[in-house]
Amino acid sequence: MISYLLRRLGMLLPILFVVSTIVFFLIHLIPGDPVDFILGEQALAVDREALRHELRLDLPLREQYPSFMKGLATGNWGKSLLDERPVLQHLREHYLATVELAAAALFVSLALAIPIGIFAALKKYSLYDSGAMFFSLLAISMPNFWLGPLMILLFSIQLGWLPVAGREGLMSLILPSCTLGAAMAAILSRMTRASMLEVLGKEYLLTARAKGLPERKVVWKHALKNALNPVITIVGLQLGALLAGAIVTEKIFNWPGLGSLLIDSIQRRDYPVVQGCVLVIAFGYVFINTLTDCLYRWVDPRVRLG
Amino acid sequence: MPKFFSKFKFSLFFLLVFLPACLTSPKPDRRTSLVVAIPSAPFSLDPRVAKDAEGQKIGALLYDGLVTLDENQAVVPLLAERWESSGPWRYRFHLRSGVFFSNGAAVTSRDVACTFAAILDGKNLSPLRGDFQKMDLKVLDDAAFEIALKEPFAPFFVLLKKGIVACDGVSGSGPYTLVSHEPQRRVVLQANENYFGGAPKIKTLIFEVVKEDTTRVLKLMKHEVDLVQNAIPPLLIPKILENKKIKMAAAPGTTFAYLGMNLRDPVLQKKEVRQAIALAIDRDAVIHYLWKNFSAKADSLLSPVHWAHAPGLISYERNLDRAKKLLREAGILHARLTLKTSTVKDRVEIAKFLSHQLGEAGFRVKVQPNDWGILFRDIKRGNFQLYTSTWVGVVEPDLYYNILHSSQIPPAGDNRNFFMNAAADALTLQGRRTVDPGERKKIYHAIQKLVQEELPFIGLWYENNVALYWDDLKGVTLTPTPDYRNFVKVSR
Repeated sequence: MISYLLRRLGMLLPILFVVSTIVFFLIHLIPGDPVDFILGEQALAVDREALRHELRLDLPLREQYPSFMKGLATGNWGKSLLDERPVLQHLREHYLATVELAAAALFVSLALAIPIGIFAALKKYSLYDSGAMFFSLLAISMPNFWLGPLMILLFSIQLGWLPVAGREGLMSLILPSCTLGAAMAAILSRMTRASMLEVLGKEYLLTARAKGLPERKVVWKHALKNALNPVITIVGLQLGALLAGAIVTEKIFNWPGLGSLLIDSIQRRDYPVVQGCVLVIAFGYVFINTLTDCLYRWVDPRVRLG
Repeated sequence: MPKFFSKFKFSLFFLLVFLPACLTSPKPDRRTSLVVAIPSAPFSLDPRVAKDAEGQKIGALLYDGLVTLDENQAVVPLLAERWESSGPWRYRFHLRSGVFFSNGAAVTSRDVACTFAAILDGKNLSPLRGDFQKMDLKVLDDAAFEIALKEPFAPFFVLLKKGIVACDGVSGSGPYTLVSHEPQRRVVLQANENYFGGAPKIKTLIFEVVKEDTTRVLKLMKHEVDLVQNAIPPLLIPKILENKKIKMAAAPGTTFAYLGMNLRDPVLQKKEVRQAIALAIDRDAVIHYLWKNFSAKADSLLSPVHWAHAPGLISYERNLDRAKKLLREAGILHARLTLKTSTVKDRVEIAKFLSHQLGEAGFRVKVQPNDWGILFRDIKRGNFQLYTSTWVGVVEPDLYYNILHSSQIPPAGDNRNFFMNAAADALTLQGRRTVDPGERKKIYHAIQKLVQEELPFIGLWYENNVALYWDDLKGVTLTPTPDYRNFVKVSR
């Protein structure tokens, strides 16, 4: 396991190198001058040129690139072009918020999806099964930008139970995590159901029942564990996407996450912050991928890593 | 079970992830505080360098200027108690006594000099540098200083509205002082109990950044914020006011919306075509349906409350027959035009509305929304035919020089319509060099008349200033200037 982890970490460096290079060149292709955003419309031409020179934006890209890569390698990720705060400070503030939201959404989705999927599989083709699948279809069909305001109207405005938006305590985490978690739960419940149905027909479960094991243990300990692999794959993909920032949900709930930071920085042509965000997102995906592989091993000891 | 997932370690992991979420900011005392939702985060509150709108508006609460504007956008004293001319283009200013910065020091001429020096320092990249370079400041004593203009430049009085910062580089003498500035989240101000104009009744002013329109509205409806000013989509206002506990204050505004035209375009070069466009637009319909009557038709850059507004200007009311006749005379039938706008939802809706109206006169208009950076680049380069935009908070009519004089074609200035007119050049230069208000008024009347005849751009409407607030607030009134100084008079 350790050598596998070390090999995966070793892959991280070339991936980050390629991603950072692509992002560096792509972001400079976006039309629009960051100096306009920094200085506004009224600045003198001489001041614009001075700033462009100070930020090295007047150099050709092939000359800007080496100093950019050197900065990355030495931990100097630069400063925001607009407020001059270190990029790492921006990322720290926003990434923690994103991790919170992602973890909460994942918790909500698993808490809903696993029991619903198992129950639907156990009561295959019954009214419960149809009901569960109908609600999962409904949840997938509702876009975030519609569900979010609807939940705010109900739980915040009408009932007054929860705050509308912002990152102010645990209560303010509930609505955004449920909004995000609903669609994830829908997909996961269907996957759990399908996976469970496949496993429930296996002979070793028949053996387990014949040996007198209680049904609860047959389902939760034996069947579920063997049905989890496809579910873990989907969870891994969804978590990777969540850690990239759920932009729409963050905007609706005024959640100061990475997605909002990335979009705002792109709009303002804040190149260093965009580059920092993308690198963090790439790292997140690799990390989650690695974690997913390790989870396979935990769930099914027969799986050999690497 | 693998050790990592033992109950203790899992709980610890859970706690570490969610612990920050459990921590909350202390709730403000609602009896003495006011929470205002703002649509974008301020970057800098320093009046010497602030470029963004929210930074300038909040900064104006922290830093008083030498002068301020009255309800007719005319300059009146503030930190400077009086001034007189001491020679050609030379003015002696006398500071008000008994005014102190938040650090306890008295406001002196030296602080005014420090502010000027910081603006002129190239390292600070102040957007005011170009205009302040036209002035020389000389300190006479603690309470008096002289400004000599290097060239005739009447608008300099309005420039003196900019906040004065103490020589310590931080302290201001405004009605509020800064408590905290959490970037991208909130700004907290505290009343200056020693403010010379009387301490504000609201002791704590909290500006909370809520970028999404719908969320801002919902927070207001739930009373998580007390007030929203000039940041509510007009279409939602009637719905919000169904809650009888939410009140509205409105006032005519100075934000001028216009349709810009590229006069280098072979079609738009012809005045008849521009007039036809103006006659095809039904501003009443846009104001009624999209603005819910929270704006007023504009025939001039200067709003009717402005001291230099010209009455009796040509007003282009919708007349499709006349529009089509003008196009026939110009020999233009079914002209294809592109209308560029920003990606802001409301602006796109307005552009589509205008496009439809122009279509009824025979134009074929394609709406092209662009991200602001791309839109601004295209406008500066002349890579457009039509575009919609606004001039926010127009107070100094010298803006006409920037937008009409032939020397101000981008990147030199803001003559984005590429308007080349000798009369406009002469008049705008004269307006800049004339100090006497009566004479300036006549000059700017002539300019406004010229603009309505030549139509380098078409005035659409003035956006009203609108504030929605909960009924436990008193004294919420608005001025034509879209800033936050009106909060000084608010109480509970």
